[in-house]
Amino acid sequence: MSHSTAPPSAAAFSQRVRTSARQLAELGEDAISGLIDLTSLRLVRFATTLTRNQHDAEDAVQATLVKIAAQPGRLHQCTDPWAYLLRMVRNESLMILRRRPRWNLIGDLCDLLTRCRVDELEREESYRAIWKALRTLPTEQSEVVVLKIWEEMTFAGIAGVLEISPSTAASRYRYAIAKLNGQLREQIAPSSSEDLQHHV
Amino acid sequence: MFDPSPPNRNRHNSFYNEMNDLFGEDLREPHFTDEASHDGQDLEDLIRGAGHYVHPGDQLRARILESVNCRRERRHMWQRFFGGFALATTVVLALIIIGQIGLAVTPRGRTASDLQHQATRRANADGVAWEWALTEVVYDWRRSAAASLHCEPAHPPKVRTGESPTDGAER
Repeated sequence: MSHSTAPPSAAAFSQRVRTSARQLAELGEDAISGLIDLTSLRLVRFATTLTRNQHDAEDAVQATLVKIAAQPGRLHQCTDPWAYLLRMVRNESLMILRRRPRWNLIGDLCDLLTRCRVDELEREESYRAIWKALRTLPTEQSEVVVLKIWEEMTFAGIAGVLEISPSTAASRYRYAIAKLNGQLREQIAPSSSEDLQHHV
Repeated sequence: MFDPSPPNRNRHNSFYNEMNDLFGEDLREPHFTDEASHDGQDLEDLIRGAGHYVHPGDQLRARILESVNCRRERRHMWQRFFGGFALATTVVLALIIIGQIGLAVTPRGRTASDLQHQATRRANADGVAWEWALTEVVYDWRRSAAASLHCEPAHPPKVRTGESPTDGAER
């Protein structure tokens, strides 16, 4: 099953989270800033796909990291601290969703705080289209896509975070990709031709 | 944080292997042909690029640190409160216990009823009047109290010159 292991970058990130968790356990809550810098972007990104609102997502991330800071040894004792963090953020996001049901404005991305590099400005439209398309997916599918593509997790890892079977995670991923493929077909074609030109 | 590396086909191979493990023959269904998976790979690359489009707000870090500090201060305040309460309770309990022990250990003086009982016993034993027996008992008690305080026993009333010692008694 060597091909089912996480990619090197994902493993390296997971190792960095583990190191940060160890520092947190040794130094106490003063070391939380390192964990914030390391994980906040990814956690907010993941929580945003669940809550469909970045402000709620940031609240979920804040609640999670404050809880971690209150019990610094808790994260260090986990087998996989990064998966544990993702699971905590997911639980907090679901709790916020239960407390604050919102009207979903699927076509609206005004809650997002975006950043686009100068050399990627021409791709901003496609990025916005992707985020819109992700918001049209059911949460069960979009969270699998986020964990699979952005967090580069294996289906076994995703299954551990979401408490489902790996087959279910893979099925959800396939359905999600099929839907996104239909929605983003026009975005894919130009990017493929750009890649082709770049390689030529 | 941004991964500038070009789309990596090895990622796709590992993904295909993982899917093959999970689904086996189902992968040969029409909706998962090579063409579809090629589009899926392009789509994955596109989505991967959009991962860094959204970033957390500038205030998030400060908010988290402030919350952590507030929580720490609140915890310290409760610790101080409970520590002070526990200390005060301990001191009060210690004082009460010490007082009880002190009361138990300190010799109490003989009461009037003790003396009366002793006078009754002496009157019966010696065959004297009860009042006289009580006088003797009181006299003995005062002498023993003086002895315990390392004082000289109480002096008998001074006898004036020209008076016999029995004069006072007669009077």
